[in-house]
Amino acid sequence: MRQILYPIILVITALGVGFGLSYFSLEDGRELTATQYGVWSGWPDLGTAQIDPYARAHLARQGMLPLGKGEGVQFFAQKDGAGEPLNGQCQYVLSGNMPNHALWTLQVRDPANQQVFGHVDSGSMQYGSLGELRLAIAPKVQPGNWINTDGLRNIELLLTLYDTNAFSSLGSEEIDLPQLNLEAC
Amino acid sequence: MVRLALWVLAGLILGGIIHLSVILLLPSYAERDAWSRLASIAPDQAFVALDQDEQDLASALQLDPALAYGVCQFDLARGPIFIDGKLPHSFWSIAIAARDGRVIYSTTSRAGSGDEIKIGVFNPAQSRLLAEEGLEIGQGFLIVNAPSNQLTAIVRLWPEHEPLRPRYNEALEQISCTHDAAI
Repeated sequence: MRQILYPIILVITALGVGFGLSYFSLEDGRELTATQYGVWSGWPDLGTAQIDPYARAHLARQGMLPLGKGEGVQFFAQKDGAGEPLNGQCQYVLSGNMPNHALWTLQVRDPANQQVFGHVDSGSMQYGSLGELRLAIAPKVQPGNWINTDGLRNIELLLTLYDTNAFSSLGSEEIDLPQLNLEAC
Repeated sequence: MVRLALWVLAGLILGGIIHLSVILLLPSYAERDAWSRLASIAPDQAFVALDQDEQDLASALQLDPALAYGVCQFDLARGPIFIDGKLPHSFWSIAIAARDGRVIYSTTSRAGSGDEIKIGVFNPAQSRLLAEEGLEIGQGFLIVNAPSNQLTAIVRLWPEHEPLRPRYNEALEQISCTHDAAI
């Protein structure tokens, strides 16, 4: 009996661990290797020739066009400053300064299929006298800067900073990205 | 009991090997990666502007809706590639990416070349020929050494206003991407 049972245990463990670990590291586990900047997380080394095998597998699985590090860096936010998941029916405010850039864009996406629902870029924003930004993220038109969430339940924000050198130098771990706070729900 | 533990341990080790193989082999077997998707729309030796209105393509490639994209796919096995063109005076960037998504080279409009792109892409054997002056290339070309043959050049261009998009897409398709040594 044991002569059959043990090999079966071996095969089940091997397959479970092998594919389970692979799936986890490409899905939820991706977060573990990300660099955190407040509510934002990203992989600033994604667009380099020194890309690690996990990031490479992730790129292949996602099927997205690669973005060179010299071109830009991307960050995701799926939770607000209080740690609650973002909801497209609520109203949020993004405030603060962007690190140096040639251009930045912000997209509101459906995390399930990466479809984009609202987007803005640095060229269409009004800034404060010190270059600070205040952007409303809401399902209804807001005064000042506004990005539409389309009333979608689950949303994620994707921030792309084009041509930024803020993340290639020493001390880049201490860079502040704009804060994201819940206003009303 | 010790026997069972040994079998489980062997299972764990085997699982680890499977995990590493999956992670390392996945990029070469992926059928819906960016390379394969572009292969069906990219013409031979020319840039094509990606249509942002095509929902499937835009979300699969995760295009930034604020930008206009031009792509050219090429194979260095047929000779070095020359990318030559002039872009509108706005923010642009170019990346040369290998089939597995590795970015080999990238630069932007702020790097000093103005509105002109002049890049020659060579594989190691062609670079050697170039160094021995066995190849003739035009003036002002930036030489990029690529470790692999199958590559994609991706140009991102920012239309400051939406009405500029058609003209910018046209400009992207005007960039040449050929095996002919530009002289």
